[in-house]
Amino acid sequence: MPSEITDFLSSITLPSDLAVPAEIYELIAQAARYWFLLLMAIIVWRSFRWYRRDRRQAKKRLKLLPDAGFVGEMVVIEGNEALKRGQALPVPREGTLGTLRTNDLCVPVEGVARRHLWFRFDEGEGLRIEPMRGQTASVDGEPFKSRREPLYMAHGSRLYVGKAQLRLRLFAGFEGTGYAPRRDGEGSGSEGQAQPPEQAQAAAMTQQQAMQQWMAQQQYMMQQQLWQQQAYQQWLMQQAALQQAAGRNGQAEEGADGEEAEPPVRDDSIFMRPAGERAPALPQEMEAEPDEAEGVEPSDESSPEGGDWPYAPSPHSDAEWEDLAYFGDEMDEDLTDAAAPPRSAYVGHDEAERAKRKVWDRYFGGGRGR
Amino acid sequence: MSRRSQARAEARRAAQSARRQRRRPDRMLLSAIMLFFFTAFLLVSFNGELEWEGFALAVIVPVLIRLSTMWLPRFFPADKLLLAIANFLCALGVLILYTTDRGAGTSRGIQQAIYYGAGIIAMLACIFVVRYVRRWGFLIKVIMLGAAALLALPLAIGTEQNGATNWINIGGTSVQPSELVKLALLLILSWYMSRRRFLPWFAFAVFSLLVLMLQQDLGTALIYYATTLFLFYASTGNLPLTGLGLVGAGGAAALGYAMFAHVKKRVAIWRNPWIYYETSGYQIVQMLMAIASGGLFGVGLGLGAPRVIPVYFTDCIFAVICEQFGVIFGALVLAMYVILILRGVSIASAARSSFHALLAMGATVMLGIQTFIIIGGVLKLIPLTGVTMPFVSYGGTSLVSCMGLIGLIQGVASVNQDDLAYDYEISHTLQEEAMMPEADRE
Repeated sequence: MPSEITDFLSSITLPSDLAVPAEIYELIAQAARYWFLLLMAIIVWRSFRWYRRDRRQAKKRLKLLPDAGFVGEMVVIEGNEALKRGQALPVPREGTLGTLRTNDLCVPVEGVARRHLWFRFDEGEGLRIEPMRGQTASVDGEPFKSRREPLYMAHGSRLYVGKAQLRLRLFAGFEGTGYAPRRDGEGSGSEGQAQPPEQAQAAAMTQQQAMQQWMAQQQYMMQQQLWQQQAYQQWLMQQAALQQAAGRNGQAEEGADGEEAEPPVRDDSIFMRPAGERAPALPQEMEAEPDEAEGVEPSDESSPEGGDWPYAPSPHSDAEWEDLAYFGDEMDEDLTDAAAPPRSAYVGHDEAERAKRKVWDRYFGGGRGR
Repeated sequence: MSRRSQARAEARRAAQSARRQRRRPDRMLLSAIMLFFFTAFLLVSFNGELEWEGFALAVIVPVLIRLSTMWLPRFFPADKLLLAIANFLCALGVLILYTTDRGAGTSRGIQQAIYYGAGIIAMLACIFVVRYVRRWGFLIKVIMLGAAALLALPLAIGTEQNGATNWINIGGTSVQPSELVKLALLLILSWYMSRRRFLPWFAFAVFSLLVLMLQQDLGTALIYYATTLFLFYASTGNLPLTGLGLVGAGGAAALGYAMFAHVKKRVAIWRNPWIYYETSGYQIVQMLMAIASGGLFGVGLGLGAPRVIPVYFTDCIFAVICEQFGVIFGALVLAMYVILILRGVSIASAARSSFHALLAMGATVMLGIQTFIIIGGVLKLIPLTGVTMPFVSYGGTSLVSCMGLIGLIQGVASVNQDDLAYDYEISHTLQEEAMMPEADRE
């Protein structure tokens, strides 16, 4: 087929008196060598610049979205000196766990092999765990049997590998995977008994409450940041005005001999919150100190005005934390509490679906905005 | 602010925006590429008798490059730089073949331009497959069976060309199945390696190598073997076994050298082609002379004597490029391949699933190895083997296969872009939610 097309095309000819003499063509072709070389150099240079620019943008993007590509994190419950309790290891969608640094999850703990297990996040199922040949692992006390019966970790599941114990917290999609089954005695205070329905309902309520508190805390932090940005801009403008004033004073000084110009005064009061103005208001349930409602002493640290704010007050009482047995001084409760929403990027199922739909609409709509 | 000053400010903003638009890297790169091919085809049209195909190509090729680079990504998020580089290399092949056609009575340039269009369709097909197929399990099994049958077909009905029985005739057109099976090999390797299933991919790789050895297609066998070994290392990180594979390859090469006379001959030609100048060393000597006669800046487009080199349109096309455009230009062409490979590696490293990462990495490595083998052979760095220079050499199957490889990488790039957009969307949703008043949140 291509030869038939080309035969037909070659049969069409142009008048021969327009042809350029061979000597002239040779001259033009020799001169054009430099033109083509220049264009080629520009093409390579532009391609390289484009490549480099994209690499830089990718790095910036990673800084902006530190959780991008990670489905959750493994929090160390039991580790060693190299892997301290409370440390969080980001979990990619797929990868390996072992003692080598080349693994996606590096767990340098006794009993863990160089490449111990392989994992993959299956949507709606959880984090699939598959130990390498000759290695063992268990999830929530259930040991790995064979590849035909894979182990799945849900939000809050515990992974026992070697002498390490890790707990999974998913950033998104745990509505599909569900929560890890609570261990005997967790939250109920008595070992070996199933949770009565009232307690189960109460536990669900505390989860919901924790979620609301976390959202409120995020809003508060965002407003704080906005306020600081505004103050900084105001300060910059003031600095510029001061510099201008200083310049004018200098000119005036040159004009009037001996007359002392007033030094510019910097007003730092803009960094102070104006008298009478409070921090952005918190939702009612936060103001009412929910700890009190749970029967725990209200603490200053949970107040927006005093102490560190970044963590929502715990939905559990101290007694419960003692029972749960993963609350230590060196570790923040927020890191290991599977019931509380994750620190970084919690996304509900509906939000995730909405985001997906937006993306699909964008690209099926002709790639607008690209 | 007065109306006049407002209008002036608006005009300034519009001018700034237009300037920014003009400075966009894709526009500047594409403008340079289009200008290059427009002037090159126009110049070649005046060489000897006037032929209207030259004028047509001077318009069609830049327009095709523009459309495929700027217009295709409107339908799905593809990597424009990768598209631009692949298009540039394909168009360079068309230019060189059209230039060498002049006065020779052949029409390889026009045929290559038609294959280039077919390659773009193959690329689109691969992008769609990678992007939209979600359940690969069954499809991979079908691909594996089909690829095995296709690869073995030349053993039954194949024709011999240049010593290898790796061609079949379908409806008057010659097709090289081993080129098309490259795509299947990558999909099979990536899928089973990402699923950590050893036996299926290993069986397929061994079968492919055996069939290629039987067909005496050593160059393609080398590409298959090197790609498989590289992907094995990338997926498992198992250095001892990869090293064993390398040692095995070395052992096989030594055994082949000891057993086969033609391998010995090829190595001897590579070591000193001048002894065999009038017989088997003629091709490599002519290539070296062409590169040397081109010098730094070349003899000029359409000049020189490229047709003296045997198979100048496939294996030795890099020598023709160096003769006509010069060694500096040849080095810049190599730089384009390097940027293409770097881009492929960054796409592979940005992939979120190991299947996609291995697929993009495999396609990139395959292109890189093929480029190294042929250019190394032309420059007398390694013994010359009969493989094509990706995108540039004459040949429909080769071009379609290379564009298919680019399609696989592009498919992964588009999936990456989706994931990234999803992350952005989520982060924006979070920010909006956090900024929203409590009452509106429900």
